Amino acid sequence: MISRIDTEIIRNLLIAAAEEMAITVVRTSRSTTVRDLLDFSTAIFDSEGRNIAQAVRMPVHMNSMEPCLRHILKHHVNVRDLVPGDVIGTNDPYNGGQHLPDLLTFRPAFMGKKIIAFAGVLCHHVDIGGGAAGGYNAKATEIFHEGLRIPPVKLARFVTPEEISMRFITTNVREPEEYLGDFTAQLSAMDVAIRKIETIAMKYGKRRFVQAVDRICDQSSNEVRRILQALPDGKGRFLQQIDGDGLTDDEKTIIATVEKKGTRISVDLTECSRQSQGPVNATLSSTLSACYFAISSVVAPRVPVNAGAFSHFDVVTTRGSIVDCEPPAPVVSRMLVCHKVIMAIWGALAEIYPAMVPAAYYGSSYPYSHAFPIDRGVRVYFDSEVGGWGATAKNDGVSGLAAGFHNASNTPIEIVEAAYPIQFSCYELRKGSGGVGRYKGGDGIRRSWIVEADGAFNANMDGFKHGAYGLGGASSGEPARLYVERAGERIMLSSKLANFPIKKGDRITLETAGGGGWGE
Amino acid sequence: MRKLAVDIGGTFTDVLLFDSNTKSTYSAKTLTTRPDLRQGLFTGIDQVLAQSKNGHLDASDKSIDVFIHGTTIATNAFLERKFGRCIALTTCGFEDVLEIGRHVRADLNDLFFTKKFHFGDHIQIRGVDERIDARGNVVIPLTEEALERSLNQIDLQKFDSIAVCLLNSYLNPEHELKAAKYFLSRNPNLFISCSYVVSPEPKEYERWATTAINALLQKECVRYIEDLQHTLVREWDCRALLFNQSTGGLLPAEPTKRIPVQLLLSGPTGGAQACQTIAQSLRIHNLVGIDMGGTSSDISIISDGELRRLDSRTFDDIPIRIPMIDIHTVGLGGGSIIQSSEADRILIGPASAGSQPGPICFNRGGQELTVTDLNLAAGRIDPKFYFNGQLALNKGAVIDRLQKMFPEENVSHAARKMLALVANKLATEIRRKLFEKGCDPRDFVLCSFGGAAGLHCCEAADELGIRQIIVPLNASVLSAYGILMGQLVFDKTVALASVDPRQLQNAFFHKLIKGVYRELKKEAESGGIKLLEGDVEVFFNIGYRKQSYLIPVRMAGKVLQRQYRNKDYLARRLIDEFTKLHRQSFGFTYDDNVGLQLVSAYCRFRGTHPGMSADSLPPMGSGDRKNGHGPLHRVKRPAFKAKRRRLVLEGASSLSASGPCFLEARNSTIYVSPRWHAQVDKDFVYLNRSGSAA
Repeated sequence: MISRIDTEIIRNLLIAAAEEMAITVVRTSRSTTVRDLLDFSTAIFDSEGRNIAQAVRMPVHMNSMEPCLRHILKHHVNVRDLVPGDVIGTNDPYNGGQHLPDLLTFRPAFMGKKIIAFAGVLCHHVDIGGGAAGGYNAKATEIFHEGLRIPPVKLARFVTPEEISMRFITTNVREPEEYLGDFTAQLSAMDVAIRKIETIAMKYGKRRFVQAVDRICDQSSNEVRRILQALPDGKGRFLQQIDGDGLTDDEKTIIATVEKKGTRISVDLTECSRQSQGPVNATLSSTLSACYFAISSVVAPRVPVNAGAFSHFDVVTTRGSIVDCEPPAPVVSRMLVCHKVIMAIWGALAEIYPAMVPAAYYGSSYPYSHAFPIDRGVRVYFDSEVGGWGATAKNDGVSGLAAGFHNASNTPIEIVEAAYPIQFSCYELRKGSGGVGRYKGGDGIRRSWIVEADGAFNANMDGFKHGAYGLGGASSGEPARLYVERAGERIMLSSKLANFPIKKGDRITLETAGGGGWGE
Repeated sequence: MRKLAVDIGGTFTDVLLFDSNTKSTYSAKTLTTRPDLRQGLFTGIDQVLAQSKNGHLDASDKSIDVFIHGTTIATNAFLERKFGRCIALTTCGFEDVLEIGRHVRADLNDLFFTKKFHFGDHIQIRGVDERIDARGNVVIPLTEEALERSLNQIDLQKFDSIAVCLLNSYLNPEHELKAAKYFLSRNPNLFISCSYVVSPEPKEYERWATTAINALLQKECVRYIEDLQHTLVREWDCRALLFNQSTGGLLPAEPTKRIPVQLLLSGPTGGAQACQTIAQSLRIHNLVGIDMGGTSSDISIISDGELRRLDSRTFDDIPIRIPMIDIHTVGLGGGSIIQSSEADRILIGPASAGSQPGPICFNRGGQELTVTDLNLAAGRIDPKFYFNGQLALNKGAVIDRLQKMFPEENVSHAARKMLALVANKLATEIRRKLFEKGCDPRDFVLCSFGGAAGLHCCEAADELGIRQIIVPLNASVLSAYGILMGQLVFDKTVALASVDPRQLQNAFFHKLIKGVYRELKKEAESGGIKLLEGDVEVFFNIGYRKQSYLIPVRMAGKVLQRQYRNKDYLARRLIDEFTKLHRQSFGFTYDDNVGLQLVSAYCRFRGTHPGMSADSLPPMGSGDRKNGHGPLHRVKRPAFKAKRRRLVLEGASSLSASGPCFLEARNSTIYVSPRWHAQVDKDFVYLNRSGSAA
């Protein structure tokens, strides 16, 4: 049996490997989405596909990489066919992916002829073809409108992309150079990790390595069980709305019923709306990653995240619903569904443990993209934003702070202006947009920019109708809004736009939502 | 000629005096005094002066020619928020950039997170109508009326400093210059920090935050520097005051007052510089320095003979983007607390027991098990020798505690296993740091100093596959030694607007260096320093087009200033070097059509000062041994435990020993683990590993 000191050592080494992958991605990637927005994640899995170590990146990705790898190993790849250097990749939501811009890549680490682990990287690529720039087609009604689907296939050997696959892909995307650049960053990062994992396994031997990995997962699982045992039982139910699915303004509802009983927490999402016609849908793996984050951030925020950490959580959904959609439903706005699932779960948990949960945050990643036609191609500027954080029983909410679930950064103004025909006119806090209460919600953000070339604009936002809820009698934050000023006239825009024509000189303004307040 | 190096740290003030006539050095270590740092400093200086006169302090001979200072004044002012009153002037519409920051949070699950850039009490932010675009063109001119409007109802007499932070100013500083002039015309006593001077590169938040911190630090730092200047003249007739900068060079007082943010790493940089000096004198190309003290460990790296640098890091979550020596601090030291969590895990640090209440064995009320306690329990610290035998250690209390924590295990066995975890943690941090630089630990020599490093260096080296360790015997004042050996450096970063280096001809490089030289020369001369035109090194920050991370490629002045037959020789050489580094770090390169971008160049010129002539380098090692501390001789102690030998180093001649054994040096113990072989000469302990790598 492996000692807990050796286990700790192996844990440190594996986390270091995951972090070195993240460093490599930042340093070699070539799109603003990955290198500045930091829209990527890295993790390490055992030979069965269980997550055993990850870098501090985006839970939305990380919690879903394990189900994706497990799916691939179960349905697509015979482990015995894999040889050193093989890289398997997919972006297919219906094969364990999230949405089409996210490309997941995995590479096995070997000891002798046996696979002992996998390194995995997920990058949000700046474009994947489809009906609107960035893959953000708010009017899509089938996944086929959203871009190129890559089923789980071999995409590279070591750090060299498979030429045929890459030519297929780069021919079908708007920014082939960025795509290839970020893909190469994924390959380079996995190469770094594999070398390291193989060294660790060699040093400790296969048996002890496997024992350590089991123990790492058991430790997290036991810790969560211990915490849950100490918490009182209870039940809560909470509802969140989505403005519309992009095609109609009919609101969608997310209802979470959360019950804590003994050493288990269950989330029932069966009351949620049917799957949307538009792209406001999440596959089960996306929804699960939101549920896991929502619960663990409240009850077990200090427990190291790995396959063991989620073993006490149960999630029930209905197939064909907005949180468990079936093909060919479009899914590009899966993140929006995830944000709302998190806030519904937090709202329900607040009914059981009022002091442990903050009021709602802004609740949308505000993804938007511009397409500017250039000579024989299209230039795509993709970006996203955050808003105010919810107030807590202890403090005001922080203004302009990313929720941990997507942990998004912003792209510096000077970087955007140097790269695209964009000039910003303001980037400021939206003072007073946070909810009022004993503690104030954080303020949202106002970001305004003038476009310096004709083109098209896409938005997949939400929260324009309902603000982020307050708790304990406090008010909700201001809803978000988006408008364009053209020839002195202000045109209010809807939260979901596909290929909205923009003209040189237009000024677009995004005002993101404030966080909810806390207490009367 | 007398040169004095002073390193005022949190706990100790180290003073090192070098007399170039006698070629000897004298050192003293006194307790740092607060709030008036001068007390401890005076005591230390009196001590070294007394040593240099063999104890007969002659009032007529108290003079010091050069005073070189490593200081934590900026670091403390920053951590304690001892700030002046400051106005930050930004482009109108972007006043909140400092508060918005970059959104990301270090802890994803912290739902109660509250910390962001909040200097609300110290800084007033005002926006001004002006705009320069991303190509450096003026879109909205900056007018005096606009400045007046934005400063409406502000009494400039009530402020100490101004941070001028305008968009795209790194491409065109016209507006920042104009604003600076305006402020000075209204109140000539203001300290002005312009963002294009402090950190002339793109990304507004990073540039502005650095500039704002510079402005906030200015009052406290300038006051300290001016006080010190007066004191030096009065007491020791010393007019040459030099400050050790985070960049790893020395600067006179005047430029230091302008950019005090460069002092943030002034102290710890000394240790890194000492490592570089050691590497040079022993002809070691790749050296990793580990300075392990009571609460933390500082890691620095020398590869290919060069101290590795960084172009930014965060202090307290705020980005400070200036060139600096890369010193990585890990919350792991002798006082780090060991916790056995209910989740079956064992956690070490970052919490530290410090010196009060201290480790359990200190018997000062410490209840928590620390790394020092483990070393005692494992038999690695001999209670008779700890802190020169001045501190009695209570081993029984440690054993009791360990038995409670690990009832199922043999106590010293458990302690040793946990020490392996300490070494592993140290090794993991070193490996990660080396990884970031694209280096393989197996190519490195470890330099171990600081009170606690010697106990862990062999095991950490084993983890890393490192086969040679060097422990300097003057380790206790090594930082001051590094500062004493420092060189005058005037530096400047030039933004190059992402040009493709393939288009550049040699003349571009020649012109660049000439231009920077002319500018820095003036500044140097005002401080009585001669700038050496030929002694320059330039770090070109270069990447593939569209990459955000840039690799600094170093080129020496000798190469850059020469004439070549081939007009694009320098560009080609630069690109070749970059490609090599990229492949080394990331395992791949792109082909030619991807294109490259040269974003900025960081130029460092060396200068000379009459008091710093090159032939006056002090000898390695501590000269005070001439005064009775004497050269090394060996004393064999009775075996501490049957098989373990304990050798005390306090004297002359060489010595060699094989592990497992212990070497007791002044203020620190070196644990020579099995398979390691120790050799001692007058300056160093050399540890070499035999047999195959672990």
